[in-house]
Amino acid sequence: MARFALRRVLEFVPVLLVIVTVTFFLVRLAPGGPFDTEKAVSAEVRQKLEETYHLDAPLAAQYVEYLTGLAHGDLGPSMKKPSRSVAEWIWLRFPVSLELGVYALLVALGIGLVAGVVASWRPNSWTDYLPMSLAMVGICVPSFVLGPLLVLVFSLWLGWLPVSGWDAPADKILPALTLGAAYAAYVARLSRGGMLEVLSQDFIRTARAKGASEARVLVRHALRGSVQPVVAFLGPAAAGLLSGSFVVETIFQVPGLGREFVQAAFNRDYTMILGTVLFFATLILLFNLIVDVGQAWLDPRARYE
Amino acid sequence: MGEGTRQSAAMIEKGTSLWRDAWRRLVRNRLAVAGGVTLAVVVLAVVVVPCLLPYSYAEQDLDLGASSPSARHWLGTDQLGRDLLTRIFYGGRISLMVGVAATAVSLVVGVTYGAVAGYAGGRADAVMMRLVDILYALPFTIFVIILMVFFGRSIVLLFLAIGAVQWLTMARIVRGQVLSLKEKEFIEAALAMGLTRRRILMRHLIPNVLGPVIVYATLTIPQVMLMEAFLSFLGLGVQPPMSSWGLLVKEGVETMEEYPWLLVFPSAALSATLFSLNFLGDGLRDALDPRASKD
Amino acid sequence: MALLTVDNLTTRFHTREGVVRAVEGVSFDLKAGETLGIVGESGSGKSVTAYSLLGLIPAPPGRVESGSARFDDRDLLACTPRALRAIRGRRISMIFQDPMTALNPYMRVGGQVMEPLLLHGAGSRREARGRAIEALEAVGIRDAAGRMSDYPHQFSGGMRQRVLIAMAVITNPALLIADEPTTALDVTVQAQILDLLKRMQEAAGMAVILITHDLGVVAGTCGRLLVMYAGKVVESAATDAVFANPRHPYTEALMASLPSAHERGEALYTIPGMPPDLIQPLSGCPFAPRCPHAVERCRQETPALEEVATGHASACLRVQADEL
Repeated sequence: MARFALRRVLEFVPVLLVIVTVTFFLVRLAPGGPFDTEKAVSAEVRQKLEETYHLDAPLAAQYVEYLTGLAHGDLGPSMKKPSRSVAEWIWLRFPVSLELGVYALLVALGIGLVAGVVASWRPNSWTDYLPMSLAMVGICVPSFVLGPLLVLVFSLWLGWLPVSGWDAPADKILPALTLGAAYAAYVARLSRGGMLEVLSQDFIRTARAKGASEARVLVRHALRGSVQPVVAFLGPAAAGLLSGSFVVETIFQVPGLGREFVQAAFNRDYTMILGTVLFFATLILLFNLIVDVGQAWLDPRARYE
Repeated sequence: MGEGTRQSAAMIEKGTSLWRDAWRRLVRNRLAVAGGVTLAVVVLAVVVVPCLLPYSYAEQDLDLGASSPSARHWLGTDQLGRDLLTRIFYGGRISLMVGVAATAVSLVVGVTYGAVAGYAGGRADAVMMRLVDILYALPFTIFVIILMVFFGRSIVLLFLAIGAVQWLTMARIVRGQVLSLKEKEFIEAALAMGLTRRRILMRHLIPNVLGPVIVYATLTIPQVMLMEAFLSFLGLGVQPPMSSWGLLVKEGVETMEEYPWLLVFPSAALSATLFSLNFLGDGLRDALDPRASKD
Repeated sequence: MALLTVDNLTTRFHTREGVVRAVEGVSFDLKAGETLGIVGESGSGKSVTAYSLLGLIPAPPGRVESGSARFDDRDLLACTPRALRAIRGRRISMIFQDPMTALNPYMRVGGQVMEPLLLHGAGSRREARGRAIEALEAVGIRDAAGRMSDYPHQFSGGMRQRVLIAMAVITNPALLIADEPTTALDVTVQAQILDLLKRMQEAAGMAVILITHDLGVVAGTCGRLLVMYAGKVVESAATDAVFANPRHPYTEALMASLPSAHERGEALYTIPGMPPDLIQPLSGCPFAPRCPHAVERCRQETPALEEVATGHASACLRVQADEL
């Protein structure tokens, strides 16, 4: 198991290298630079700015310079928000996104697993169709529609929750719900499928023959085997939560890294873009590794090999 | 030759009974049928109706401004007095077109990649699939955003970019099918029975690969449409004066409190189409592979 | 006083293709401590009979249409689910055919063996643990205490079947139903398992219903036999009586197809034809199409199970009429 993990970690390096390179050249090859859109800036000032950031040097040189900096753990200064370096911005913004992501994941797993298990209890009945139809709604209604709708109902009409912000605990409910909804839907479908498959296996019959109640059969015997597809889904789900955060953070004015990235992209803040992309990619790779290890751990048969 | 063997021989001859069985299963699934019918209506509507409508989608009526549904404007108008009904139909054209085009891109790339990997087998296959595994985990959305921001907002780029995000699943599926078809035993058996290669290709190989490809193509279109809507919401997708459902939703969100109809109708149109595609796709998947179905 | 009295049990499956008559009018008695064998081919309804008793038939397609099963002063077929659950695993236990898949691969063996005790409130966890270790030792698992925390995949097929037996008898049930307990095992292991079952039964005074398609298995273990075909009981008698003097053409054919009944080098006898399709309503004797002794009457009249000698019943019209 440890060897497996180590091999995977070693894979990170080439992958990240490719990502850095691709992103680096992608943004620099595009027409326009970070300071082109500065309105009240004279040609001289702009030239000076470009010099400061070495944008006048040949591309290859800039690339090498960036990589060297990376090797020392330096992500560079933010070109459009120079009050802090890229690393500092990330340090500031990421915990917020992390918090949002965790809540959304809790929503997804909490609602999704319950819905899926309930649906699998009596297939093709109302207890099945209702949760699964709701799940379909979660998949088909985009977050940027759901979010505003929730705001409309719960903030503007009912006045229970605030419209935006991220300070009080109540602020965090709607963003977490909005971000987690689609994933709750997927988890519900996956866990229902997983449960149905497990429930058709022989050992379930053994459990019933021992006198176990349906509830116990579902939770104590079937659930453990049925979460495998859900765990497998966590990898892509994390990636999705990350991208989803862009929209949700924008709608609800959450000061997270996702919103920061979108702004950096629009502002053509090269260093900021590179820094966040690298950061996200590393996060995702790590998370997927954890998920893979977790999957192996869940199935005792795999553990002892 | 016993009765059982005679029956199997007849089945190998027939081959296409796969499609007939699948069709029967599909039409029994009411949700899938509803989805298919709705989809057909939507497609027909967005293609045909705009020619019949009295208003052009760009025609403004600044005096009128935003107005709620009325006899003249069935779904109301936006702030520039543009008829919402018309804009929804035109927007539908664009949204569906992007959906289909991007899916086509992902299909071409994915099928090619998967077929090559599956056919090559061995080391090449292992390497190619490891690459897919790694890429699968990364949020392509980030790259699409960068692409769209930096390289301009052309619609061609839009569906190339979105299509490039979705090819991975298709590649995996096609590779799986090709690998299992490489179990050439049944091909050899069929050859031994006197079937021509062409017949085998037409009646066995192609249906086997085509089936899952159709299913996932159907399920990819709504994902792609969602992504387009997402990008349009960020201002990176379809650009005005062209319209798409995503763009209409964005505009609706901005004025959600005062003019709720501007949000509700485009959202309903988008969601209804996504529902239909998803139900139809689910139904196709259940019909073509009952073992993988929900029960 | 019989421990279990089954009267006219009928179970059918309502599928898209039609109604499958899996069990039709099966009746039998079982005394305490007795071993009853139910023999038949696949599809004869022997397993479905047992599952019906414990309510383990998958309910949407399957349904117990009629009949009663009196046990412990109540009718198992008319019980509330809750009452039935109290009986399962405690008064009536069951072990299933394939030990490889019958245990929960995600749970430790110890937990699974303890479960019947915990479910039926028979003591604390610590007591249950102790009894589980004893049970594992009794079925011949060495180092039982250590093995409690192992997972099923760490046991061989024969060991798993022993674990299942331990799990079934740990609550001292009055009746153990064993559905093809040796079919999935190697021949050498089969003998050991049957031997184990016999010992456990004698030690506890338990009644056993042994379901199998293998006549060889019932020969040494069962006191009485039921032979089933197409959902019906066609012969019922003491095992020795059946072997010495089979009173139904099907039983005869079964015995004739035993490899041991043949001379070396002789072609093996197989019963011609196939078992009937249980969806078509049958008139007449279900075995008639394949029976070497069938006459016109057999295809028209449906035979009932009747006594043809003391303690020996047969459902063959011609046997009943003393023609065979």
